[in-house]
Amino acid sequence: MRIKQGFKLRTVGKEYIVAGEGLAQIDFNKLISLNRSAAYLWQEVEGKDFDEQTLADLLVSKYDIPAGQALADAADIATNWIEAGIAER
Amino acid sequence: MENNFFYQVAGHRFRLSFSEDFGKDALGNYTPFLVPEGKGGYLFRLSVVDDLPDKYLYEQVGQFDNDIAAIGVFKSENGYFRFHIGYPGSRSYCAMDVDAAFRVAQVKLPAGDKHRFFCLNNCLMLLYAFSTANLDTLMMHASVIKNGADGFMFLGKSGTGKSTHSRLWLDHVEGSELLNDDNPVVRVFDGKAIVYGTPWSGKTPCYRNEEALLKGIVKLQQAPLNQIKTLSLLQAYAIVLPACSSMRWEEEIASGIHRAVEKLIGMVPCYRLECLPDKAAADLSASTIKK
Repeated sequence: MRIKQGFKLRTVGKEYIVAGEGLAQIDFNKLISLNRSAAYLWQEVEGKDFDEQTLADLLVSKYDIPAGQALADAADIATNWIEAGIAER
Repeated sequence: MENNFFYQVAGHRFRLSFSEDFGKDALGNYTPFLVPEGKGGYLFRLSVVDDLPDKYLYEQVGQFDNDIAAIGVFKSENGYFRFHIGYPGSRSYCAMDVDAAFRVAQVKLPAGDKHRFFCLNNCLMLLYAFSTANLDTLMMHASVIKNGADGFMFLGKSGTGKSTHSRLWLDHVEGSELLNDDNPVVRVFDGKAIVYGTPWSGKTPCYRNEEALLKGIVKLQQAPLNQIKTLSLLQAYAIVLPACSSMRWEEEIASGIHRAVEKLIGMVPCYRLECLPDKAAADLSASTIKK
Protein backbone atom coordinates (compact mmCIF):
# COMPACT_ATOMS: atom_id res chain seq x y z
CA MET A 1 0.00 0.00 0.00
CA ARG A 2 0.91 3.64 -0.32
CA ILE A 3 0.03 6.99 1.17
CA LYS A 4 -2.09 8.82 -1.39
CA GLN A 5 -0.67 11.78 -3.23
CA GLY A 6 -1.44 15.26 -1.97
CA PHE A 7 -1.42 14.62 1.77
CA LYS A 8 0.88 16.45 4.13
CA LEU A 9 1.80 15.73 7.74
CA ARG A 10 1.93 18.83 9.89
CA THR A 11 2.31 19.62 13.57
CA VAL A 12 -0.08 21.88 15.45
CA GLY A 13 1.42 22.55 18.85
CA LYS A 14 2.42 19.08 20.05
CA GLU A 15 -0.17 17.31 17.92
CA TYR A 16 0.08 15.76 14.47
CA ILE A 17 -2.41 16.17 11.66
CA VAL A 18 -2.65 15.09 8.05
CA ALA A 19 -4.23 17.59 5.68
CA GLY A 20 -5.13 17.29 2.01
CA GLU A 21 -3.01 20.05 0.53
CA GLY A 22 -2.08 18.81 -2.93
CA LEU A 23 -4.20 19.40 -6.02
CA ALA A 24 -5.05 15.70 -6.01
CA GLN A 25 -6.80 16.24 -2.65
CA ILE A 26 -8.37 19.63 -3.27
CA ASP A 27 -11.81 18.28 -2.27
CA PHE A 28 -10.57 16.51 0.85
CA ASN A 29 -12.00 18.78 3.53
CA LYS A 30 -11.13 16.84 6.68
CA LEU A 31 -8.14 16.93 8.98
CA ILE A 32 -6.90 13.58 10.23
CA SER A 33 -5.26 13.58 13.62
CA LEU A 34 -2.39 11.12 14.19
CA ASN A 35 -0.82 10.09 17.46
CA ARG A 36 2.93 10.20 17.88
CA SER A 37 3.63 6.64 16.77
CA ALA A 38 1.35 6.91 13.72
CA ALA A 39 3.13 10.15 12.79
CA TYR A 40 6.46 8.35 13.11
CA LEU A 41 5.23 5.59 10.79
CA TRP A 42 3.90 8.17 8.32
CA GLN A 43 7.28 9.89 8.11
CA GLU A 44 9.03 6.56 7.57
CA VAL A 45 6.77 5.26 4.77
CA GLU A 46 5.79 8.48 3.01
CA GLY A 47 6.44 8.12 -0.73
CA LYS A 48 7.20 4.39 -0.42
CA ASP A 49 5.37 1.12 -0.91
CA PHE A 50 4.68 -0.62 2.38
CA ASP A 51 2.49 -3.21 4.07
CA GLU A 52 1.43 -4.13 7.60
CA GLN A 53 4.69 -5.98 8.12
CA THR A 54 6.71 -2.87 7.19
CA LEU A 55 4.79 -0.86 9.79
CA ALA A 56 5.13 -3.63 12.39
CA ASP A 57 8.90 -3.82 11.87
CA LEU A 58 9.15 -0.06 12.31
CA LEU A 59 7.16 -0.23 15.54
CA VAL A 60 9.36 -3.03 16.88
CA SER A 61 12.57 -1.19 16.08
CA LYS A 62 11.39 2.08 17.60
CA TYR A 63 9.35 0.98 20.61
CA ASP A 64 10.81 -2.44 21.39
CA ILE A 65 7.42 -4.17 21.65
CA PRO A 66 6.63 -7.86 20.94
CA ALA A 67 6.29 -8.68 17.22
CA GLY A 68 2.75 -10.04 17.62
CA GLN A 69 1.47 -6.86 19.29
CA ALA A 70 3.28 -4.71 16.73
CA LEU A 71 1.63 -6.53 13.85
CA ALA A 72 -1.82 -6.13 15.42
CA ASP A 73 -1.21 -2.39 15.98
CA ALA A 74 0.15 -2.02 12.44
CA ALA A 75 -2.94 -3.70 10.99
CA ASP A 76 -5.19 -1.30 12.95
CA ILE A 77 -3.26 1.73 11.74
CA ALA A 78 -3.31 0.55 8.10
CA THR A 79 -7.07 -0.01 8.30
CA ASN A 80 -7.57 3.43 9.86
CA TRP A 81 -5.55 5.14 7.14
CA ILE A 82 -7.45 3.40 4.39
CA GLU A 83 -10.83 4.14 5.99
CA ALA A 84 -9.81 7.79 6.42
CA GLY A 85 -8.98 7.90 2.71
CA ILE A 86 -5.35 8.90 3.16
CA ALA A 87 -3.77 5.58 2.05
CA GLU A 88 -4.63 2.99 -0.59
CA ARG A 89 -3.79 -0.60 -1.42
CA MET B 1 -1.85 59.93 -17.68
CA GLU B 2 -0.96 57.18 -15.25
CA ASN B 3 -2.34 57.36 -11.73
CA ASN B 4 -0.29 55.79 -8.98
CA PHE B 5 -1.81 55.25 -5.59
CA PHE B 6 -0.18 53.76 -2.53
CA TYR B 7 -2.25 52.03 0.09
CA GLN B 8 -1.39 50.55 3.44
CA VAL B 9 -3.55 47.77 4.89
CA ALA B 10 -2.63 46.19 8.22
CA GLY B 11 0.80 47.78 7.93
CA HIS B 12 1.55 46.25 4.51
CA ARG B 13 1.84 48.66 1.60
CA PHE B 14 0.89 48.13 -2.03
CA ARG B 15 0.68 50.16 -5.20
CA LEU B 16 -2.14 50.47 -7.71
CA SER B 17 -1.51 51.96 -11.15
CA PHE B 18 -4.08 52.77 -13.81
CA SER B 19 -4.52 55.28 -16.60
CA GLU B 20 -8.26 55.32 -17.24
CA ASP B 21 -10.64 57.56 -15.36
CA PHE B 22 -12.54 55.33 -12.94
CA GLY B 23 -14.58 58.22 -11.58
CA LYS B 24 -14.34 59.82 -8.19
CA ASP B 25 -16.16 57.25 -6.06
CA ALA B 26 -15.07 54.01 -7.69
CA LEU B 27 -12.13 53.45 -5.34
CA GLY B 28 -13.78 55.04 -2.31
CA ASN B 29 -13.31 51.89 -0.22
CA TYR B 30 -9.52 52.42 -0.54
CA THR B 31 -9.51 56.09 0.45
CA PRO B 32 -9.07 55.49 4.22
CA PHE B 33 -5.98 53.41 3.40
CA LEU B 34 -4.21 55.95 1.16
CA VAL B 35 -0.63 56.76 2.12
CA PRO B 36 2.00 59.02 0.57
CA GLU B 37 4.48 57.33 -1.75
CA GLY B 38 7.23 57.48 0.87
CA LYS B 39 10.49 55.57 0.76
CA GLY B 40 9.51 52.28 2.31
CA GLY B 41 8.79 50.46 -0.93
CA TYR B 42 5.78 48.21 -1.29
CA LEU B 43 4.82 44.59 -1.18
CA PHE B 44 3.26 44.36 -4.62
CA ARG B 45 2.14 46.46 -7.51
CA LEU B 46 -0.99 45.96 -9.58
CA SER B 47 -1.30 47.78 -12.91
CA VAL B 48 -4.60 47.96 -14.76
CA VAL B 49 -3.78 47.46 -18.44
CA ASP B 50 -5.73 47.54 -21.71
CA ASP B 51 -4.04 44.48 -23.10
CA LEU B 52 -2.56 41.46 -21.45
CA PRO B 53 0.06 39.97 -23.76
CA ASP B 54 0.38 36.19 -23.80
CA LYS B 55 3.96 36.13 -22.59
CA TYR B 56 3.92 32.55 -21.39
CA LEU B 57 2.20 29.28 -22.01
CA TYR B 58 -0.17 28.61 -19.13
CA GLU B 59 -1.58 25.33 -17.98
CA GLN B 60 -4.80 25.24 -15.99
CA VAL B 61 -4.35 24.40 -12.32
CA GLY B 62 -8.03 24.40 -11.48
CA GLN B 63 -11.34 26.23 -11.53
CA PHE B 64 -12.59 27.19 -8.09
CA ASP B 65 -16.15 28.47 -7.99
CA ASN B 66 -18.23 29.32 -4.96
CA ASP B 67 -20.85 31.88 -4.01
CA ILE B 68 -18.15 34.48 -3.35
CA ALA B 69 -16.29 34.40 -6.67
CA ALA B 70 -15.40 32.21 -9.64
CA ILE B 71 -11.63 31.85 -9.89
CA GLY B 72 -9.67 30.06 -12.59
CA VAL B 73 -6.00 29.45 -11.82
CA PHE B 74 -3.32 28.89 -14.48
CA LYS B 75 0.42 28.51 -14.07
CA SER B 76 3.30 28.74 -16.53
CA GLU B 77 6.42 26.60 -16.59
CA ASN B 78 8.49 29.40 -15.06
CA GLY B 79 6.09 29.81 -12.14
CA TYR B 80 4.01 32.77 -13.31
CA PHE B 81 0.31 32.74 -12.49
CA ARG B 82 -2.70 33.81 -14.46
CA PHE B 83 -6.02 34.21 -12.67
CA HIS B 84 -9.44 34.56 -14.21
CA ILE B 85 -11.77 36.13 -11.66
CA GLY B 86 -15.47 36.62 -12.21
CA TYR B 87 -18.60 37.49 -10.27
CA PRO B 88 -20.45 34.28 -9.37
CA GLY B 89 -22.77 33.34 -12.22
CA SER B 90 -21.53 36.13 -14.50
CA ARG B 91 -19.89 35.24 -17.79
CA SER B 92 -17.43 38.13 -17.91
CA TYR B 93 -14.21 38.00 -15.94
CA CYS B 94 -10.90 39.78 -15.54
CA ALA B 95 -7.53 38.25 -16.37
CA MET B 96 -4.56 38.91 -14.10
CA ASP B 97 -0.92 37.92 -14.61
CA VAL B 98 1.35 37.66 -11.57
CA ASP B 99 4.99 36.73 -11.11
CA ALA B 100 5.91 33.73 -8.97
CA ALA B 101 6.68 35.90 -5.93
CA PHE B 102 3.39 37.85 -6.10
CA ARG B 103 5.21 41.15 -6.46
CA VAL B 104 4.24 42.46 -9.92
CA ALA B 105 0.82 42.00 -11.46
CA GLN B 106 -1.18 43.25 -14.42
CA VAL B 107 -4.91 42.99 -14.78
CA LYS B 108 -7.22 43.49 -17.72
CA LEU B 109 -10.70 44.32 -16.49
CA PRO B 110 -13.82 43.41 -18.48
CA ALA B 111 -14.70 46.55 -20.45
CA GLY B 112 -17.77 48.42 -19.25
CA ASP B 113 -18.85 45.53 -17.07
CA LYS B 114 -20.76 46.31 -13.88
CA HIS B 115 -18.62 43.81 -11.98
CA ARG B 116 -15.26 45.32 -12.91
CA PHE B 117 -14.62 46.74 -9.45
CA PHE B 118 -15.65 43.44 -7.94
CA CYS B 119 -12.89 41.99 -10.14
CA LEU B 120 -10.37 44.67 -9.16
CA ASN B 121 -11.13 44.22 -5.45
CA ASN B 122 -10.71 40.47 -5.70
CA CYS B 123 -7.43 40.81 -7.57
CA LEU B 124 -6.05 43.06 -4.84
CA MET B 125 -7.31 40.75 -2.08
CA LEU B 126 -5.72 37.77 -3.76
CA LEU B 127 -2.39 39.55 -4.27
CA TYR B 128 -2.49 40.79 -0.70
CA ALA B 129 -3.24 37.33 0.73
CA PHE B 130 -0.53 35.53 -1.21
CA SER B 131 2.21 38.16 -1.01
CA THR B 132 1.81 38.26 2.80
CA ALA B 133 1.45 34.48 3.27
CA ASN B 134 4.92 34.21 4.79
CA LEU B 135 4.66 37.37 6.87
CA ASP B 136 2.46 35.96 9.65
CA THR B 137 -0.47 37.70 8.01
CA LEU B 138 -3.86 36.11 7.34
CA MET B 139 -6.60 37.39 5.10
CA MET B 140 -9.69 35.90 6.65
CA HIS B 141 -13.32 35.39 5.84
CA ALA B 142 -15.02 36.73 8.95
CA SER B 143 -17.06 39.47 10.56
CA VAL B 144 -15.31 41.48 13.27
CA ILE B 145 -16.60 43.50 16.20
CA LYS B 146 -14.41 46.07 17.91
CA ASN B 147 -15.24 46.72 21.53
CA GLY B 148 -12.96 49.27 23.15
CA ALA B 149 -9.47 48.17 22.13
CA ASP B 150 -10.51 44.52 21.75
CA GLY B 151 -11.55 42.60 18.66
CA PHE B 152 -13.88 39.60 18.39
CA MET B 153 -14.04 37.61 15.20
CA PHE B 154 -16.98 35.55 13.95
CA LEU B 155 -16.45 32.77 11.42
CA GLY B 156 -18.89 30.67 9.46
CA LYS B 157 -19.78 29.63 5.96
CA SER B 158 -21.64 32.19 3.85
CA GLY B 159 -25.21 32.43 5.10
CA THR B 160 -24.64 31.03 8.60
CA GLY B 161 -25.12 34.41 10.23
CA LYS B 162 -21.73 36.05 10.80
CA SER B 163 -23.10 39.47 9.94
CA THR B 164 -26.30 38.78 11.88
CA HIS B 165 -24.34 37.90 15.00
CA SER B 166 -22.21 41.04 14.63
CA ARG B 167 -25.39 43.07 14.33
CA LEU B 168 -26.69 41.49 17.55
CA TRP B 169 -23.52 42.65 19.30
CA LEU B 170 -23.99 46.16 17.90
CA ASP B 171 -27.52 46.23 19.30
CA HIS B 172 -26.99 44.52 22.62
CA VAL B 173 -23.33 44.62 23.69
CA GLU B 174 -22.38 48.07 24.87
CA GLY B 175 -19.45 49.75 23.16
CA SER B 176 -19.50 47.53 20.08
CA GLU B 177 -18.62 48.81 16.60
CA LEU B 178 -18.29 46.93 13.34
CA LEU B 179 -14.61 46.76 12.28
CA ASN B 180 -15.14 44.69 9.13
CA ASP B 181 -17.93 42.46 7.89
CA ASP B 182 -16.25 40.06 5.49
CA ASN B 183 -12.48 40.22 4.93
CA PRO B 184 -10.43 41.40 7.89
CA VAL B 185 -6.68 40.85 8.10
CA VAL B 186 -5.07 39.28 11.16
CA ARG B 187 -1.39 39.65 11.97
CA VAL B 188 0.42 37.54 14.50
CA PHE B 189 3.16 39.17 16.54
CA ASP B 190 5.15 38.04 19.57
CA GLY B 191 2.54 37.34 22.18
CA LYS B 192 -0.43 38.99 20.50
CA ALA B 193 -2.67 38.95 17.46
CA ILE B 194 -4.04 42.13 15.92
CA VAL B 195 -7.10 42.27 13.67
CA TYR B 196 -7.39 45.06 11.10
CA GLY B 197 -10.10 46.65 9.01
CA THR B 198 -9.51 46.54 5.24
CA PRO B 199 -10.87 48.06 2.01
CA TRP B 200 -12.74 44.78 1.50
CA SER B 201 -15.88 44.03 3.45
CA GLY B 202 -18.24 42.06 1.22
CA LYS B 203 -21.65 43.64 0.81
CA THR B 204 -21.36 45.84 3.90
CA PRO B 205 -19.64 49.17 3.19
CA CYS B 206 -17.38 49.15 6.26
CA TYR B 207 -13.88 50.22 5.26
CA ARG B 208 -12.19 51.24 8.48
CA ASN B 209 -8.48 51.78 8.78
CA GLU B 210 -8.45 50.66 12.39
CA GLU B 211 -7.18 47.79 14.46
CA ALA B 212 -8.03 45.85 17.59
CA LEU B 213 -6.35 43.32 19.85
CA LEU B 214 -7.90 39.99 18.85
CA LYS B 215 -9.38 38.43 22.00
CA GLY B 216 -11.59 35.65 20.68
CA ILE B 217 -12.57 33.70 17.57
CA VAL B 218 -16.06 32.22 17.38
CA LYS B 219 -17.26 29.75 14.79
CA LEU B 220 -21.01 30.13 14.32
CA GLN B 221 -23.44 27.38 13.63
CA GLN B 222 -27.19 27.78 13.34
CA ALA B 223 -29.04 25.76 15.95
CA PRO B 224 -32.39 25.61 17.73
CA LEU B 225 -30.70 26.74 20.96
CA ASN B 226 -27.82 28.83 22.23
CA GLN B 227 -24.74 26.98 23.43
CA ILE B 228 -21.04 27.82 23.45
CA LYS B 229 -18.03 25.54 23.78
CA THR B 230 -14.30 26.20 24.06
CA LEU B 231 -12.39 24.42 21.30
CA SER B 232 -9.28 22.28 21.64
CA LEU B 233 -6.17 23.23 19.68
CA LEU B 234 -6.97 20.86 16.80
CA GLN B 235 -10.62 21.91 16.70
CA ALA B 236 -9.48 25.53 16.59
CA TYR B 237 -7.10 24.74 13.72
CA ALA B 238 -9.94 23.05 11.86
CA ILE B 239 -12.17 26.14 12.05
CA VAL B 240 -9.52 28.83 11.49
CA LEU B 241 -7.56 27.31 8.59
CA PRO B 242 -10.51 27.09 6.15
CA ALA B 243 -11.38 30.72 6.93
CA CYS B 244 -7.99 31.89 5.60
CA SER B 245 -7.34 32.76 1.94
CA SER B 246 -4.80 30.29 0.63
CA MET B 247 -3.75 28.17 -2.31
CA ARG B 248 -3.13 25.07 -0.28
CA TRP B 249 -1.56 23.19 -3.17
CA GLU B 250 1.22 25.82 -3.29
CA GLU B 251 3.64 24.51 -0.70
CA GLU B 252 5.20 27.81 0.28
CA ILE B 253 1.88 29.63 0.69
CA ALA B 254 0.27 26.71 2.54
CA SER B 255 3.22 26.46 4.93
CA GLY B 256 3.16 30.19 5.66
CA ILE B 257 -0.57 30.14 6.38
CA HIS B 258 -0.19 26.99 8.50
CA ARG B 259 2.51 28.57 10.67
CA ALA B 260 0.52 31.77 11.16
CA VAL B 261 -2.65 29.84 12.08
CA GLU B 262 -0.70 27.66 14.50
CA LYS B 263 0.64 30.74 16.27
CA LEU B 264 -2.74 32.46 16.21
CA ILE B 265 -4.66 29.63 17.86
CA GLY B 266 -1.88 29.23 20.43
CA MET B 267 -2.66 32.77 21.65
CA VAL B 268 -6.33 33.48 20.97
CA PRO B 269 -9.08 31.31 22.45
CA CYS B 270 -11.48 29.78 19.92
CA TYR B 271 -15.09 28.74 20.46
CA ARG B 272 -17.98 27.09 18.70
CA LEU B 273 -21.28 28.88 19.17
CA GLU B 274 -24.45 27.09 18.27
CA CYS B 275 -26.99 29.84 18.17
CA LEU B 276 -30.29 31.40 17.33
CA PRO B 277 -30.34 34.88 15.78
CA ASP B 278 -31.40 36.49 19.06
CA LYS B 279 -30.21 38.74 21.90
CA ALA B 280 -29.55 35.74 24.16
CA ALA B 281 -26.99 34.45 21.64
CA ALA B 282 -25.08 37.75 21.74
CA ASP B 283 -25.32 37.85 25.54
CA LEU B 284 -23.95 34.31 25.73
CA SER B 285 -21.02 34.88 23.37
CA ALA B 286 -20.19 38.26 24.90
CA SER B 287 -20.26 36.98 28.49
CA THR B 288 -18.07 34.03 27.50
CA ILE B 289 -15.38 35.65 25.35
CA LYS B 290 -15.36 39.26 26.56
CA LYS B 291 -13.61 38.93 29.90
